[in-house]
Amino acid sequence: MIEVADLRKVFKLSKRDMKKEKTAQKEKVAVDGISFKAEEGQIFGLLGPNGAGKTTTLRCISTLIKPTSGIIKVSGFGVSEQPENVRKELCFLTNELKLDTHFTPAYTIEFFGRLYGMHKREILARKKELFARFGIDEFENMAIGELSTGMKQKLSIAVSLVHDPKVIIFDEPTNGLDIITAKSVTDYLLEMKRIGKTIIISTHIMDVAEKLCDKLAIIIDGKITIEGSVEKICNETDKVSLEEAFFSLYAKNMEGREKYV
Amino acid sequence: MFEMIGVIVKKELRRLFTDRRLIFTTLILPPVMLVVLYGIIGLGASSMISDVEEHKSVIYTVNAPDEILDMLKGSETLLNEIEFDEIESVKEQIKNGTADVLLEFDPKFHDKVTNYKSMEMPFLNTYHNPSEDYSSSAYYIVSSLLNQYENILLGERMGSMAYANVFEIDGSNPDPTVVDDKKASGKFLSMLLPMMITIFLFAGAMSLGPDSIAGEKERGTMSTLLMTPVSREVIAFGKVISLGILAFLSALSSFIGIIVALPLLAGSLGGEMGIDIGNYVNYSILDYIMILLILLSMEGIFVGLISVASVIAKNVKEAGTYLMPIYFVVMIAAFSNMYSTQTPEMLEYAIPVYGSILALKSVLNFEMPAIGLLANIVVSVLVTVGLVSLIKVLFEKENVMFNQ
Repeated sequence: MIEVADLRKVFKLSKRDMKKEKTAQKEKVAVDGISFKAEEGQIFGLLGPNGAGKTTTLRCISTLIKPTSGIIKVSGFGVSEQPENVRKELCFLTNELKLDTHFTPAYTIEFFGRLYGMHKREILARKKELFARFGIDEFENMAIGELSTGMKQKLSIAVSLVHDPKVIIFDEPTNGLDIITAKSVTDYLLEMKRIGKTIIISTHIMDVAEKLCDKLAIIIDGKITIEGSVEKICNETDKVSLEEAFFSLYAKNMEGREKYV
Repeated sequence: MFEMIGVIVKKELRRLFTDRRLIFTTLILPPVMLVVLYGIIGLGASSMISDVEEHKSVIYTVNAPDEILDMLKGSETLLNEIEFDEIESVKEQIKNGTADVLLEFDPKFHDKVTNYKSMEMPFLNTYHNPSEDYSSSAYYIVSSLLNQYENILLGERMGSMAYANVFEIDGSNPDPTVVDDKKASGKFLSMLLPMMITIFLFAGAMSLGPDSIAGEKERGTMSTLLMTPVSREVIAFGKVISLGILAFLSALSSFIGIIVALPLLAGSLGGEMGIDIGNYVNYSILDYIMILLILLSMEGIFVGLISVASVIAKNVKEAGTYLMPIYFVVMIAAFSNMYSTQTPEMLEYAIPVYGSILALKSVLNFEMPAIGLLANIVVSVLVTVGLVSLIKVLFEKENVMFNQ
């Protein structure tokens, strides 16, 4: 289970960043006091436009970056207090995380397995299972650099799951994938949900959110504007589809911002 | 913790040893280049010397007395007697390098020499080109012959040849050079080796460090590593230790290159100085241990500096720009030590890097004071510990690790 309470993340801006962002402010609030809970056997989705704070939230949960304030607990471990234990519990998949293209898939999974404290026999068994599941076994002794983009993505998933984590965090799971690989990824997430894993994904694609997520939180400008199932969100916004609900919330937010300015 | 450091170190070593391109550029190419370069320099120097020695000097004379002509004929030179009006054209030939020396004697040279009491001193004008090796060599031969001739004339004037020589230099001294072969070889090695090893050590670490840290950040593989339950401290230590091992191997391969290449260079340069390069073997095990300790402690500083620059940099290119000035400072420290002749002050050994190069020099000269060695190693270890602590702090900083 993942519990996020009043999470806030503020980035300090350098002069170059200020110029790039066209702002005179020295800080940028990426996540502004969000709270939610993701439970076992559910897929929780963070839906929002680019720059809304989805990836920052996921990076804070994964301990890659530290929250400015607020509390995050993964399977009961606090991200600030026990980051190593948190990382043992979860896997974080994002396009930013890459594998060394010089090594083979077989060596790579073995290396990461060792870093998760696994024994060689355990790693080999897990490798066999995951490589067979994602169709990597044929290519396990080729250099990663020689694999296709889809195969690399599948390998990244397999490597991140080597320690059989209880929590799966996936940033934009289908981004940049061909439809076949995208389908195999979404199928795998549903399979993981069925066996009781806690799953959080971030997306800006309505279709992915509607099909996969049991619960959703729509993030706009670092804040959660609404949270619940697709049905609940449609009811509360009085819209027939998630897409319509999202755009009405987005428009309302933009209106509020203009009034405030 | 140590097990995980071991896993990371093994991965880093595997990265190098399974990459043929990297093995070639970091371990094979530097020593091969050294041997080839030194071989070419050595061969070039030897062949230049033998070429000058084999060359027959082209000498022109005007109004030369018979005695001089006989002496020149006996010295395997190409002798040409010319008239006064040809002087300018021969001078031009000397300028062009086609003639070597021109001797213009007083037309009444013989009379004036013979009647030295009643007549003025005769003139003798010499022309040569110091920018031409053949001309310089010919001038040396001619000067020596003229000295001999002058002595003969002096002897004639005094009635006996014996009176012309006032004293005899090393006539009956079979061994005029008093040199400790061991120290002479040490001096030769201590001039070159510390400078070279230092530069190779830094260059070796510099060729690998940026890729191992900044390169991993650039390629996005560092974030994958940071997502494992291993603490960032362990990752930092693993990176630094593996870089240390690889840089040492790289420096060692270059060192082997120097050992093979030096005799090639010394054959042409050292040999003339009476130095037997085979005397390296005169260093004791204690000397080698001291060299190893100094090198390892200095390498700690290098690896620390390179790692700090690589952690701060966003990519390999940026790391390179941070490292260039550091490389220049190291080179200045190395070269400034090359020609120093004074016995170093104890405090100088405590200057990081500079002190290590100085200490290497002292060990190779067989004059390393124990306190200096201790001061040098303690300071280097302290600086390394400081740099590693800084790397640890930097690894914890998200704006550094993710360049946000």
